[in-house]
This record gives sequence, C-alpha cells and structure tokens, in this order.
Amino acid sequence: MGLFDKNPGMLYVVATLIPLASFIALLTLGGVKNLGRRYRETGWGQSLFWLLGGDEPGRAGAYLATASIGASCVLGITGLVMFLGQFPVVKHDHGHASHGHADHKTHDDHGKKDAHEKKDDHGKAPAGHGHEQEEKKASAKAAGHEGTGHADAAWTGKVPFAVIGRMAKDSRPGLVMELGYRIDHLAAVMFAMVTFIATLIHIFALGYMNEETQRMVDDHQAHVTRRGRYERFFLFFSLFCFSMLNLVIADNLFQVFVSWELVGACSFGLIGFYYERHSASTAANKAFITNRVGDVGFILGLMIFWSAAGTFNFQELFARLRPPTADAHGDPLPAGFLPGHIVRANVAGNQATVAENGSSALFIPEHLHSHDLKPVITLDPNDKRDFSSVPYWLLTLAGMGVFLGCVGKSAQFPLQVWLPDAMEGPTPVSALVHSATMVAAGVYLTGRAFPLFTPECRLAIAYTGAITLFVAATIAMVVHDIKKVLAYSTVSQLGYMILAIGCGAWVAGLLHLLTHAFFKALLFLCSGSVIHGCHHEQDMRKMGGLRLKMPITAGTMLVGCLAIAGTPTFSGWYSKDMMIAELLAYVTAAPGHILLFLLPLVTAGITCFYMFRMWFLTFTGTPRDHHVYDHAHESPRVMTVPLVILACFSYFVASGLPIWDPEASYLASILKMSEPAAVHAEHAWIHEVAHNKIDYHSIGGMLALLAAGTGVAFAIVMYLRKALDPAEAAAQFPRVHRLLENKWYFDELYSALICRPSLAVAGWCRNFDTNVIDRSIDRIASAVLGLARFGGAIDKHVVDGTVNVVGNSVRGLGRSLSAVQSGHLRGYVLGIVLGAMALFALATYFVSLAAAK
Amino acid sequence: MLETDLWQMTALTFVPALFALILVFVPATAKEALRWVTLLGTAVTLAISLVVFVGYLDVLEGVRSERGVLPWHGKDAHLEARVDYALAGSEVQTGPDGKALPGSLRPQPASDLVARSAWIPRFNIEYFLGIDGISMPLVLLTTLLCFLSMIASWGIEKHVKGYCMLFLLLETGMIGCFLALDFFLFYIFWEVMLLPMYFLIGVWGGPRREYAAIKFFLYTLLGSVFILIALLGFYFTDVRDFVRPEMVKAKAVEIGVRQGLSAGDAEKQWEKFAKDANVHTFDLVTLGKAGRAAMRVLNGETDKVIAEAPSTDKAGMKERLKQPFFTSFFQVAMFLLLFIGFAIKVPVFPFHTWLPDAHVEAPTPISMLLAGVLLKLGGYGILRIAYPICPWAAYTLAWPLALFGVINIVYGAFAAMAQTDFKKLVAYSSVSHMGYVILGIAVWSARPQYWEWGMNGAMFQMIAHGVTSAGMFFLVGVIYDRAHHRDLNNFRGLMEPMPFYGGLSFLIFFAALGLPGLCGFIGEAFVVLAAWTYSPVLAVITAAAVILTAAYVLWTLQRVYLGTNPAYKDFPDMSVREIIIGVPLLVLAVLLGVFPQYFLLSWMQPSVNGLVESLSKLTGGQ
Repeated sequence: MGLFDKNPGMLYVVATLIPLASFIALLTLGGVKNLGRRYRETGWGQSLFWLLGGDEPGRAGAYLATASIGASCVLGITGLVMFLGQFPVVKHDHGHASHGHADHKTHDDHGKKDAHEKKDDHGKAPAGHGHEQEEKKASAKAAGHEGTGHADAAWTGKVPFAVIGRMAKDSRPGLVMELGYRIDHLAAVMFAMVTFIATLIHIFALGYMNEETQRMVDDHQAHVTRRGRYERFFLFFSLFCFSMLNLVIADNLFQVFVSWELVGACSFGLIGFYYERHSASTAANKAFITNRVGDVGFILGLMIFWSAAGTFNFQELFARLRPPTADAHGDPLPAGFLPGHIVRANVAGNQATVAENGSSALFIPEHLHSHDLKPVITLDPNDKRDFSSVPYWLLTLAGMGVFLGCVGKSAQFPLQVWLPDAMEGPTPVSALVHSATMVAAGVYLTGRAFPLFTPECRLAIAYTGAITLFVAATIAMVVHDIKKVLAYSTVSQLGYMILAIGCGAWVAGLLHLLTHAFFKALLFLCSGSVIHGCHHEQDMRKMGGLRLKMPITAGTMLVGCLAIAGTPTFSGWYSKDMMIAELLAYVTAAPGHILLFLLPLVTAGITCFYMFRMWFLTFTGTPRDHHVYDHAHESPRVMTVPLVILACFSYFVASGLPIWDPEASYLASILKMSEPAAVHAEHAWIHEVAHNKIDYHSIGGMLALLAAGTGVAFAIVMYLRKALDPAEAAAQFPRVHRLLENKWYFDELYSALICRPSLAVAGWCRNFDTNVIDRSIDRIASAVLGLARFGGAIDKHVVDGTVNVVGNSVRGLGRSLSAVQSGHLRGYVLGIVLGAMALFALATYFVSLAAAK
Repeated sequence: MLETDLWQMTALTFVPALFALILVFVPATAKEALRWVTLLGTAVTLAISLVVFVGYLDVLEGVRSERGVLPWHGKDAHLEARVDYALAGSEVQTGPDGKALPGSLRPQPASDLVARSAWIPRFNIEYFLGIDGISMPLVLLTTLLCFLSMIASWGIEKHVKGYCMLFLLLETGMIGCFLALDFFLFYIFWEVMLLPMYFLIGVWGGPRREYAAIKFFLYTLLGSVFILIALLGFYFTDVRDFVRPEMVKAKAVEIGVRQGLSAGDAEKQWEKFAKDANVHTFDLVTLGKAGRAAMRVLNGETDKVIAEAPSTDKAGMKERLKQPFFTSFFQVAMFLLLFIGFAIKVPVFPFHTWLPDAHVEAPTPISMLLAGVLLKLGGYGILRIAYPICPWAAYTLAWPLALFGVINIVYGAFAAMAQTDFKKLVAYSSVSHMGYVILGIAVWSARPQYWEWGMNGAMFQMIAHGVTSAGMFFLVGVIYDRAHHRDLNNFRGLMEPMPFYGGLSFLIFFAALGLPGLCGFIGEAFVVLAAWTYSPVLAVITAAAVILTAAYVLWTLQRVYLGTNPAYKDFPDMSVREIIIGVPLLVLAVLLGVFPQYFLLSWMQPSVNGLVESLSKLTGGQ
C-alpha cells in the first residue's frame, strides 16, 4: 500500500485495469473453451471440457466481470473520498447560504469517513516509475479568485507510449505520445458514477440475460436457434468498462481518442450482440461508421494541436493557450494578456503584435515571465518552450474538429441517427453504454476541453445542442417503442448538456450529466424490466395497466420520470433549474441568441409530455393486449434491487441543504472545484449583466416549472384522462406528424447523399480497374503480340525469304550451268576453239598494253 | 579473423537455398518428408534471424552515448557510420606484438552486422551485406511469415517437391534483398524472387493462374528494367570523391602496375596515374553520399561540397561535379525510374492492377507471402535506394508522391467496397494500407521532427500491415478450404459454427481497420499526424478515409460472419494447424498495438531517424 500512499492516483489506474484483466481472462477462457468444443466427445476431453463449463454457457465469467467492476467501484468511491479529504470542497460565496461539507449526506452508501491524514506539501515527485505527483493545498489558491484556481487540485502521473526523435526531452522539445491520468474533482466524481452505475447494471444484466445461459436459445426475430452466449456479453461489458474508465482518467487528447475508438468497438459488439438479426448487425455498423465520421473531426483537431503545440496534454495545452492570472514571478500580466482568455495577435514574419482581434492566437511559453510580455513578441515555432502562434481560424477549426468527435459520440445533430438504432442491443447495453456512459463521453470531453474552444466554437456548440434537444424531443413524442422513447430522450438531454456547456454553464451541464446518468440508467433498466416481464414486448401500444402487475418497476420508473421532469427536490431539478437559469442569464446578456433559451424551455415541456406519455401508456389504463398483460410478471430481485437503488440515487444524488434551494447541490459544489478558469473568465460578464437586469435564478426556475407543468398536464389530459385523443391530435397536423414519425427524414437524406453515392463511386473505382487499366494493359499486350507476330512474319518471309531466294538462285544457276555438260563432242570442240580464241585475244590485248607502256 | 557477421548474414540468406538443395535428394513421393524438411529450413532461418536480431540489439547497446541524445540514438548507430568505420578499421595496422599501432584505428568489432568481400573486382561488384533498423524488422517479418506460410502449405498436394524448392528459393531472394547493400547484388536477389513467384502462382494457383502469373511477372519485370537502367546510370558515374582517398590511391597504383611499373615505383608515383583512377561502384552507401552531394550541388553549395570532401584533388572534383549524375534532369529521371520500379511492387495506383489478380489466383500461403513481404520490398527499395541516392528529386517531387499515397488510400478503399470476391477485397485493402506507407515517406516537410513521425509511421505500417494482411489472407484461405468459394454474397453466419475462427477474424480485421490497441492504429495515426505539417488538404482527406475503411471492413464482417446460414452449420472450426498459424499473428498484432515503443519503435528508430536527419540536413532542417 506504500504505492498508493505516494501516488494515490494509482488507485484509479488499478481500478481502470481491473476490468481489462477481466476482459483478457474472459477472452482467453472463451477461446480455450471454443477450442475444446471439438474434443468433448472423447473421454478425457469430456471431463476437461466439463471443467471449463461444458457445453452450457457458464456463469463464472459473468460473476468475474461483475466482481471486477464491483472492485473498481469500491476503489473509485474510496478514491473519491480520499480525494475529497485531500482537496475538500471550498464554498464560494455567491450570496447563498454556505455550509461545510461535513454536514452533508454523502452520495455514496459505502462512504468511509475515516480520518485520512492530510499529506504535507511535497515538493518534487519521488523518482520511481516516471510518475509525478502534484499536491497543492486547495485553500492557497482560493484567496483572491472567484471560482478559479482549484483546477490545480489533482493527482497526476504518466508514462510514455511512443517517443520518436533523437533528443532527450531536455535538450530539445521532443515529440512524445504519453498515456497518463489526471484525477481532479470532476474525474473522481465521474469515475465513481461510472463504476457505480456499471456495477448495478452488471447485476441487473445477470438476471436480464438469463436466457443466454441456456444451451440453445430461440431467436424469434431471426427465426433461428443458436447457442447461448452469456459470458460473451460480459466480455464486451468488461472491455467497455475499461475503455470508459480510461477515458475518464485520461490527461491527454490522444488517450481520449484511443478510448474513444475502443468504446466504439465495444458498442459495436454489444449492439450487434444478437448478430443473427440483420437489423442488429446493420445497427452496429451504423453506430461505428457514424462515430467514425465524428472521429475524422477529432483527428483533425488532434493534427492541428500536435502541429501547433507539439503536445496532446490537456494541462499543457490550457497553460499555453490561456494565461493564468499572474506570471511565474507572481507579477500581474500586462494589458492584452487577459487571464483565462485566448491571447490574440497579428503576426508578421516572426514578430507578433498583441491585438484584441488579431488574426492569430498565441501559444504562451511553459514558464511565463513578465519581461517576455511586451506588446511585440518574437516567435519560435520550433521550440514549444517559447512563444509561437497559430492562425485564429485554425484554432477554431481544431476546436470544431474535437467537437465533431463529441457530436458523433454523443449522437448530436447531425450525427444522431445511430443512437435510436442502437436500441437493437440488449437493454442493459442501452442503459450503460447508450445513456449513462459512452454517449456521456462526448459531453465529458466537451467539458474537459472547454478552454480549447474559441468563442466562435462555443457558439456553434451551443446551437448544435439547442437544435438537437428540440429535434430529438419532437420525435420522442410520437414513437411507440419504449426503448426508442428513452433513446430520443437521451439525445435530447445530451443536447441540453452540450448547450449548457457551450453557453458557459459548465457546472450545470456536467451536473446534468451526472444526474442524467442515474435517472436515465434507471429508466432504461425499468424499461428492461418491463420488456423482460412482458416477454420481450417493446411496443407500448400493446401495454397498459402494468402497474398492478409490476409495482416496483412502475414505482421506480415514476421516480425516474419525475427526476427527468425536474420535479423539485429530485436530482434532475437541481441540474435542470441551474441550466435554465444560466441560459436565461446568457440570453439576457446576449439577446440575439434568444433561441438558445426558447428552445430548451419549450423542450422542457415536451420532455415532460413524452416521458409521462410513456409512463401512462405503459402502466396505467386498461391493458391493450391481454396476452401480454396476462403473462406479465414482476422481475426477480436481482433485477429490481438495482432499480430501487438507482431510484434512491435519482432522488438524492444532487441534494444539498437547505432542501428547497436549487443552488445548494453538494454535487454541484464538488464540480465547481474543477471548473476551468476559462469558464469564469469568459462568462463572468454574463452574470454581471444579467444580475443587473433580472433575478434570473428565480425567473428561470419558475419558467422551467411552468413548462414542465404544461407538459405533464398535456400528458395527463391525453393519456391518463383520455380527454383528448392523440390520434385526432395527430390528424390535425398531418404533415408535422409524418415528419416526426419519419424522424425528420434524416436516414433517407443520408442514404441519398452519402451511402448511395459512396457505393456508386466504389463501383466506378472497381470498373476503372477492370475496364480502363486492365483493358489498356491487355491492349498493350495484344499490340505487343501483334508486333511479335509481325516480327515473326518478317522473319519468315523477308529474312528467311531472302535466304531462300539466294539459295534457290544459286541452285538455279548451278542447274543451268550443269547444262553445259551436254555430252555432245561438237559442243566440247566448239568450246575448246572458242576458248582458245578468247584466250588468244586476251593475251594479244594484254601484250599490246604492256608494249604501249 | 572469423568474421561472424558475414557468416551470420550469409547463413541467414542462403540457408533456405541450402535446404532447397537438400530437397533435391528427397524423393518426390515422400510428401511428408519434403514438407517437414522445408519447415525445418524455415524454422532454422527464423532462428538465425533471431540470433542476428540479438546481435543487432548488441550493436545498438554499443553505440556511444552522446550528450542530450537518447540511448541507442548516437551517430554510430547509423548504417553509414558503421560501414565507414568498418572500411577504416579494416586498415588497422598491427605491430610485431600483434597489437594495433598507435595512430591506427581500433580493430573492427567482429559483429557490427556490416560485412563485405570482393566478388567481381573487375566491375567493383562486392558481396556486401548489412543490417540496420530499417531492414531488421522486415527480415524478422519475412522469416516469421515464411515459417507460418510453410505450415499453411500443408494442404498443397501436387508437385510438392517443386513447390517446396521454389518456396525456399523465394525466401532466399527476399532475405537477400533486405540484406544486400550492393546495388548489383540487390538486383540479383530482386530477380531471384520473380521466377519462383511466377511458378508458384502459375502452377499452384486458381483458375486464371496463368494470366495472373504472367501479368505479375511482366509487370514486375518492367519495373525491374527501370531499376536496371538506374543501376547502370549510377554505375557509370565516377564517384572517386566519395570513397576513401586510400581507395583512389590503390586504384592509381594498380593502373601504374598495369602500365609496367613495379609495385614500389607505382606507389611512389601514384599521383601520375590518379587522373585515370575512375571509381565506379554499386555500393549503395557510397552512392548515397554522392546523391546527397548532388542535392547540395543543385542547391548551389558546390563550393562547400568541394571544401568538405576528403579527397585532395579539388580541381578534378570540380570537373567531376559536372557529371550528368549531378544534374537535375538525371536526378529526376533516375528517381522516377527507381520510384516507378519500386512503386509497381508497393503497389501504387495506377500500377496496381497486377495485385488483385495475383492475390486471387495464388494459393493461400503464397498470398500471405505476397501481401506480407513482397509489397514491403517496394517500400524498402524506395527507402534504401531511391531516397538516399536521389534526394533532390525526392524533395522536389514530394507533393506528387504524397498525392499518390493518398490516392492509393482512397481508391483502394473505394474499390474494396465494391468487391464481391473476399480475396480481392483483401487485396484492395492492401493497396489502401500501403498508401499510408507512401504518404509517410513522402512528407518531407520543413519540420523534420514531423517527418520523423511520418517515416517511423510508414515503417511501422509496413510491419503491421505485414502481420494483418497475412492474417487476413490466411483467414480467407481457412474458409475457402471449407466452402470452396469466396463470394461475399453467399457467406453468412459463419460465427455460429466457427466461433474461434469468427473471434480471431474480428480481431484481425479490426487490426486492419486501425482500432487503437491493435497494430494497425499506430502506423496510420503517426502518418496522419505527420501529414498535416506537410499538406493540410492531403491530411484531411487521409483522415476522412478512415470512414471508408470502417465501412468496407464492417460490411464485409457482417456479410461473412454475422447473420444465419443453415448451409454452413457443420463447418469444423479451426484445426490445430490453423490455430498455430493464426494465433501468433494475433498475438503480434496485439503486442505491437499495445507496446509499440518496446516491441518495435525503440530499435527501429535510430536508423529511420538517421535517414531522416541525413536528408533533412540538406534542406536546412536540424
């Protein structure tokens, strides 16, 4: 335990690696078992195979997975308590009643309030495995700042993952990719939340996935009987938990990206769990590919930060982008270097002149000295320890890129199309992956990377969230599948969080993330309980009156609905109230963006409407399908106990004293400790302006309650009292209704714009290869063959022909010459005479020639 | 003195050929014996390669550390430094007591993994072998894949003797290519690879094997001809300024002796004959030095080049720097010839159409070797030959090169999406993945730190792709053995009868897709990150291509493994032999993905970074 004394953050590393160990164990054992299946007929193989669980799907793997995530949960909660002990919550006086944290009912059942010795302020990190550790007393920084300076309270450590370059880090800035962790208040709370909900869902799944423990399972949708695969479910779950926890503790963008992809792969495996169904595998593909579209943006952001700053580490990037309140000597910064704001300058050559609307953004050296801060600065792009710059638009683009990744992961507009289809997976998957954790990762990153976003970027973020929350809520009004309602609800609530963060309501957005995780997981598990009890019936039109048959489920689901509606004193109230109030403040200070308040307000009403519509359709009224009703039963204890626990948390998790004060949430005050300085720096003016105009807290709260009440009223009127007929209401607005029923035609649009053209281009490329390249090669080949034949013809006719002609003519000559040998004596005599005469003539001629000389 | 490294590297290259010779004496009917002897041959070669690997790590350990420089990264690590040191050290003079005379260099360590001996002195062709961080991983990959492919070849039934002998000859050719540092020797091994491959595809292949074999052969031979032209072009350049002055002196002395003088007189009057002492060489290291000098000349630094050269004949050097080799036309022409020659092997669009046919028709183990090793030879050739000898052209043509890399990535992905033959789809995915290699090599930007990432990413991608594509072709072979077709539209539901195979396939295909934690991610990530500094447009397109890759891989997995199909429910899962092939590839994929630094980057980098630094110095980078 000495390791944990020196490096308490290692607790989190161990807690993250335990599910990975479980995954590896399950994978290996599963592989061995599959290999052994062939040998189960023979004697010794049969006994060994039985040891490994035999042909029946085993349960041991599931228990191992659950135990491992339970262990991580214990470690996570322990870590949270230790962390809060070391860096206690410091209340900031905002005009509200402050209170010590010791009075609070802590939000964990296992909380150990044992005395934990406060550590001395160690200076240097102990050498060892290359880990460093910062410990700062939180109070030291608190003086003199409003809501800032606590972001240094953290446990950190890192190891290099890939180092490329000759130079050791000190001689020249090397480029290093690292894996590291940084535990601050937000990470500690998120970690505890993720592990806790994951443990409960594991336990729920032990019961829900029961039918997979049979040797053969009938799949009614795919009309096939297949082997049960109980442990494979938990295999994917374990890998998913590891990836998600790795994401939560990550201290750099690269590690987040690695986890990003891994959770996407696990989601793929889990959505496509019932892979015999074509719809399930298609949904899994859709999820992964849509996420990859977002990942392209993420990679773009990674590339820009890597090239401009040479690092992926969050803290290093923040420090280089946004100056602190004072420089390394403690002297205040000169004008132009607004603390927490991006420093803009106009760059000419390697000189940068600080200017308010400059076209570039400066990267500040790691150790800021005031004597470096002149109005005109010399840049050195190759040494990241010195000033450098990046065009402002490029910085905005980088932020948009990272945000695009979040859009993909959190199913925001325009990449929301995969989440409703992801409901093909078993309900525990929907509860854990697609409501509480994986989709929350996008919001988490948006919150974490807040200081990297320029104001323009944040505006885009806000509008994205606003559009998403409205569109998704409208679709949720008309769907009939109980899980789809919750899926669209998730998209909508994530939109709320994104909108809040984009408008600077950082704590509100992340508080909603935490409360939403609890009540959405609760709602999904309840729906799972309903589906399980109704024997895999998911259509609400076939349900009704189930509260008599499934009272615990009905009760806990009601708690969940009340929480999401923002009923006072429920956890959702704290977060929703805070969000609406902050948005009202934002819109008051910036009236041009009134839509950013109206949409969420209206949607709050719509949310209540469709949630209670769902509850009423499922649990009240007369049963619409007697077959379903008669066979419905309450779920076993292994499934209902997590429901009850989650219901308690949905009520209490964000509570604070006094109980009627929406601003008093203890959880919010913990989150406030992690709020980046940039949030306050960039958005303090909003509070100033808004405070002077209206009391946005009370007005916002009242408006939120009004909207919620309206929504619930409509739901009661239409579905409980049945005073208004929903079908008639739909008939009044046929085109709108059709638009909503077809999910705003996004799927059709993407199919026409992207999928079909891609397949067409693919066909062109394939045909180009065959018809253009290969055909020209074949033509060249035939041309060469033709040339060869031509050459062969020349050989045969011309060259050989010449040789033959010569041969023939010689033979002809010979033949004609042989005619001289006629056999006639007269001929020979004539020849002799003629020859003698010729010789004589020749001799006379040559003699006369010689005489003439 | 026993030159262990010469013997080690020679053994590494020729042990497979030796076993091929042994096979001559094994009767053709003893199929099992033939296979086992071949397997033993590949296993012995694998063992030797591991011994050489340990020797290479020793070399790295012995690198003198410099201030501020990471261990193993000192200048001594670079191949050129080792070669130069080997040449200098071979002239150490020992006194009567056997110790080195003061002032002469310290004796050459026996195992610096660089070895040369004269072969054809008339043409200055040497038997020159050497290993550095670029060739070592490729050699290990080759020996491992040959071993696994031999296990996969157990199903070959006809003409087993011929198959095994050709297989072993192919292995010799591949390893020889990676080890050769003499261009002529390299070319010989390059050609040695062609013929066995032709027969292996043409005799043991699928229905259209003759067409595929001859297409492969002629295509590659065309490339080889281009390389040959470049080879000759380099040879006919007088490079005496880039070799040790002692060598020039020795040549002058030789000319004097030939002209009738005695040895002693010739030595005293060697300067008289120095004018004619032309040095022509195939030595890649020397040619590299000449190439870098050419780039400096073309950048206008001729005087600096002359001032820094070790030769004493400065006036003559000035004349010699006007040779065609040092002109821009020659540099570009030679680079293009070399690049096209190697690009045909990589393969780069539009010279890639031999690949789908060759892969589809070749038997499974040959496809594994083709994709796993032969494609890497193209990349290796570009890195070892084209870039060091013609850097000016490489720098000038960097953007078109990168563009071709990106075209490969995108075009390969699109073409893969449209395929209905499983093997052809995997072939096109190979085309796509090799595009990352070309892109990573080409991004010669003004910031050499980022080019280092690109180069290392390209090298890593070569190894990772070797592992994953060999795995993918093997997996296709497994199902082809059972179903006897490769039509993607007629598979379905293979996960149910063959869960182990299905799980292995998913992991290998996800490695090809570039999932973090598996080997395919590292190379792609490094290359993409490096490309941004060079050209943002190309980088964005490359990043967007991950969507396409995910699309075709997942769609294929869905079509083949998911769903239901009662026709295949009796298929047996993987046999022991198949598991022995598949699991090591999977283990390697995971290890390289999770611990890239430890398993590959740490010992590969010193050489790759050395190459990058030697080249980027020429453009003003540090």
